[in-house]
Amino acid sequence: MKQFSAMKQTTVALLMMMGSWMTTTAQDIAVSQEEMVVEYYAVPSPEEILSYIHNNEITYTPKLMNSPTNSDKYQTSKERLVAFGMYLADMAYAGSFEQSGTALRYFEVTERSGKSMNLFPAEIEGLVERMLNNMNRIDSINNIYDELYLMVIANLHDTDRFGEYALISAGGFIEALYLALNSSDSDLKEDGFRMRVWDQKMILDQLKSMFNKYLNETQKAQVMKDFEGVFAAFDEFAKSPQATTSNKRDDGAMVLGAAPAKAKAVNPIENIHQEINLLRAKWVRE
Amino acid sequence: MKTIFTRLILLSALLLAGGLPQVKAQSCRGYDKRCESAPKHFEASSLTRSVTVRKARKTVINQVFYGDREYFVSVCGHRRLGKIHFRLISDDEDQMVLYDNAVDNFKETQLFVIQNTMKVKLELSAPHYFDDRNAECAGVQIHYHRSDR
Repeated sequence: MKQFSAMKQTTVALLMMMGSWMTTTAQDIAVSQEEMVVEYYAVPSPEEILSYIHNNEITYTPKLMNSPTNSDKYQTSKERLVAFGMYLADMAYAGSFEQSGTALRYFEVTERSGKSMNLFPAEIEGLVERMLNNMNRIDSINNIYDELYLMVIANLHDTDRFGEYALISAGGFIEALYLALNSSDSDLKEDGFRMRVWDQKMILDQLKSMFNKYLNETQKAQVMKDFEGVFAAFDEFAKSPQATTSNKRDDGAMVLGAAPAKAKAVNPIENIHQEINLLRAKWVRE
Repeated sequence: MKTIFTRLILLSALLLAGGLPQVKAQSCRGYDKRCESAPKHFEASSLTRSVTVRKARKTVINQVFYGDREYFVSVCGHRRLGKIHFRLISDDEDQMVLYDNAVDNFKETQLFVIQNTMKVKLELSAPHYFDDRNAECAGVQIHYHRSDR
């Protein structure tokens, strides 16, 4: 009986301690939740980067694209993810110039490599079928490209695979810039074109943050080294910050922008062009 | 008797542990498709996302909006979340709030006319959601087209 009483006291004490611990834990969680901010990055697709820079002013130059036959050369995880991003850019490039047969070849290579890296959710099968059924309808192919890209990104986001997203985005970014800068009729001397290239500095800043935040130490060291020249080229000219303003239009639209800069020549992009070509050649390994 | 007490302790521990705030993990992929669509002449942007929303948590999506483009932003969330609070903040030294849908009665869609390329933070939260235990899905759909000017 004495033993039973002692056991009872111990049990009550244990339960009280647990109750107290539970309360503290719940409060801690509430406090930490009040302060919680979860941050993600959303980088424009290669198609959006490419179409923004070239602005329908360049000529389709198919020899620039990374050949699908190179796909077997990429062995490490980093190489394969970067190449996947590059092939997405090539598919977008072919699609934007209504080259449906070429776009399909790039769709096939992205589908194959994406499956081997487990980048797709199960819905990819329906998309493959639609792609095959719409080979001659370029609008559909471009829509399928958009869906494919969002499907991959949403899947990576949903499964917290942000490092892979960073590497795919890096590959797409470099290939999109390479295609825009090297296509026939790219006007590297024109202010509007150069300004749109300089605008990519903001995407580059995002990529740098993603590399630092999401890549493992080995991959981070490799990629930061790969990008050294590109970072330096985009840092060549300091840009004075402009305050962003926001005004509501009569129709309810919000007009956002910095105060118009005084007319002055846009800085040259020779170094950017050179560094993009160098990094792209290193990654493609032709 | 000892066995009964051991069982009692285990049962109490289980019951108490059940009372801990537990956030249910779930997939929200594709939730953005439930948000209001943009007018037909807009193109889908890869900046669209679906996210998991929890009590007292803000989700920030870092993005770049290109100049000479119009962006149609549409937010939505599971009805249990209540109104979705969405703000657009300039991602520069000023961190200026460029738009806050709270002043528009938590309107779920907004058109932005972007004059020059800028980094922005799109912030989502559910200020009227008080469930400690469960997370719910929300989405932000972004469409764009070139400005006419």
